[in-house]
Amino acid sequence: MPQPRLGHENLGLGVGLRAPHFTYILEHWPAVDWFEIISENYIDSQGRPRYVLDQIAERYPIVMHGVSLSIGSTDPLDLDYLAKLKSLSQDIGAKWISDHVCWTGVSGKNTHDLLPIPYNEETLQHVAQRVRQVQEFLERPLILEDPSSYVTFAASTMSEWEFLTALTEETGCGLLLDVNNVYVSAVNHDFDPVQYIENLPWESIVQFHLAGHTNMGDYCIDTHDGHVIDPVWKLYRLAHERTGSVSTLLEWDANIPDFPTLHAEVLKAKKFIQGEAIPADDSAEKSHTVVPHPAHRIEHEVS
Amino acid sequence: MTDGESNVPDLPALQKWMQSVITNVDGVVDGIHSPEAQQHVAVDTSQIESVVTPSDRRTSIQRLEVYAHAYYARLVECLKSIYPLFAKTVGDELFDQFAVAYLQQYPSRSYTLNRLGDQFPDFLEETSPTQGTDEWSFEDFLVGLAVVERSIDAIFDGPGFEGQEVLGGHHLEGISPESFAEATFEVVPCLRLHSFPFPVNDFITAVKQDADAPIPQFAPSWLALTRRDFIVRRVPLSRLEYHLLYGLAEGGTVAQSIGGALIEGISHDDLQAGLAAAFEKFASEQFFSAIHLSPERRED
Repeated sequence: MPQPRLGHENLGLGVGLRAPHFTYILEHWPAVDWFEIISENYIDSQGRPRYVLDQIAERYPIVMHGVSLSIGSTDPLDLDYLAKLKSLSQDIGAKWISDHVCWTGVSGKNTHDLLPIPYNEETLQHVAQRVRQVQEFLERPLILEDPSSYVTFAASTMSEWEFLTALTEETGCGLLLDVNNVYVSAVNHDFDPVQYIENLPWESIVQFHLAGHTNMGDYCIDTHDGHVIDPVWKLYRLAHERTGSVSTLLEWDANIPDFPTLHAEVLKAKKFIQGEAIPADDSAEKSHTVVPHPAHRIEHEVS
Repeated sequence: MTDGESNVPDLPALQKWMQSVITNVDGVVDGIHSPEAQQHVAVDTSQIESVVTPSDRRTSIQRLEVYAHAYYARLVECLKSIYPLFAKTVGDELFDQFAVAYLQQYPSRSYTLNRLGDQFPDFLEETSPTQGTDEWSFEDFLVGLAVVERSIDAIFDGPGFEGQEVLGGHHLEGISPESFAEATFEVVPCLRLHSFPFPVNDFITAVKQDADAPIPQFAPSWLALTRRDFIVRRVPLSRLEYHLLYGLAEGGTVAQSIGGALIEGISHDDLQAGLAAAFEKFASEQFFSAIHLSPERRED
């Protein structure tokens, strides 16, 4: 039986570090518990993103969250990429390194999407072997997130929660439970999100993700472009009760609001845990292209 | 049905199949029937549920289409963020056509989206109607604009000299003419030099102020791009300044770089008038990180 949170501390309520907030953070040093970065935006940076990150890492706990590990791919692991992850994690004292249970491309290509895998014994052994390889390379447990997904495969023989549970048992990896992803996938694949959460190995959950999504009528897209909706907050409370509380992180990647609005959204978690009602706020209009997460890139600045 | 004999595709076959289906520019149905997909999983649309299961409310095809729609939408938006002025100049519809064609020819092979647009200017040049001719066209102007934006993007997050000492004008004082002629310079790592058949930099300035700025007429222009305080800066150059700086950046001595500028057609009169001002400008713009002199030739 692993230690709760694999021995990691509960960092509290954090937000994803996004470029539009760089200036605000450097000027105000807001009272945020911790930040999560998108690893790929910083592992090669020799410009302002890294300069800002170094200053923030001196003052706040940082967690590295990746979108290109492609742990489920049948292509070889990218050791150069892993070396960069390891180097940055050492430089900034990252608390842990996470990515997704997915594949992003094959035959040398990267779709930059988080593509689902079939949940069966063949895939489990394939992914577990790669998780062990990554953990040995990084010299620390890998933390893996449940993806939001839009298809399921006839080749699957187990549920996603059964797969994740088996993966933690096989490898000792931790879980990043994205509560919004559970909700989105539950709508898309007709399963009960409560059953999903109730059947996870709670002691292996190191972190939660919260985010907004887009309801398309007969399915949902994980767009990270708005407030967290009430059913997701309810799932969050269940997960919080089952785990005894773990680090919680709000992601907001499109229609990004000002920093105080972003911070206020994750602080709702504190109220929700304490049993207070949260007024529904899902009025934001979708003026942008509705694209599933991720679409991360820091845009350049030029005079 | 698969790479092997089984009816159920193994993981490598399934991934190659799905990638070919969702990245097919003509959509999921054409993707399923494409030779590329068929070589990995030989199903047609009537058999698709044997690979991708439907949900209560959506068919297998509809479910795959979420990924297919997102693939080009996501990457086109990303390219637009790398080439915002190019996109503004050609308009959304034409940009999307360029971008989708580019992504088919140069799909991402990197873990980072920052490399997604690296070959976009090359792609534009390859597909330009005047490629291989001596004529200048609107397409050549667009290539120049894309080249500048690629440089800007690379400089923004590439190596810089923030926090390091650079060469100021006072470092160039008290050097004998003979010693200066043999001097070499190290340029800052973020310096990039460009020469264009159109006034690309003037257009960028204009379009930042007015989205409807007219496409400029043919006129050669020269530009330095650099970075200070983490902001990318555009520094227009004269023909002399460009050729002189180009020679120095290549490691030539001052004398060799002047010789190179003369070969490029700079007149002696222009040279005498512009040389001192050019070095003053280079130092002022912080283009140099170091000067190398023969110590015995420096005058006190």
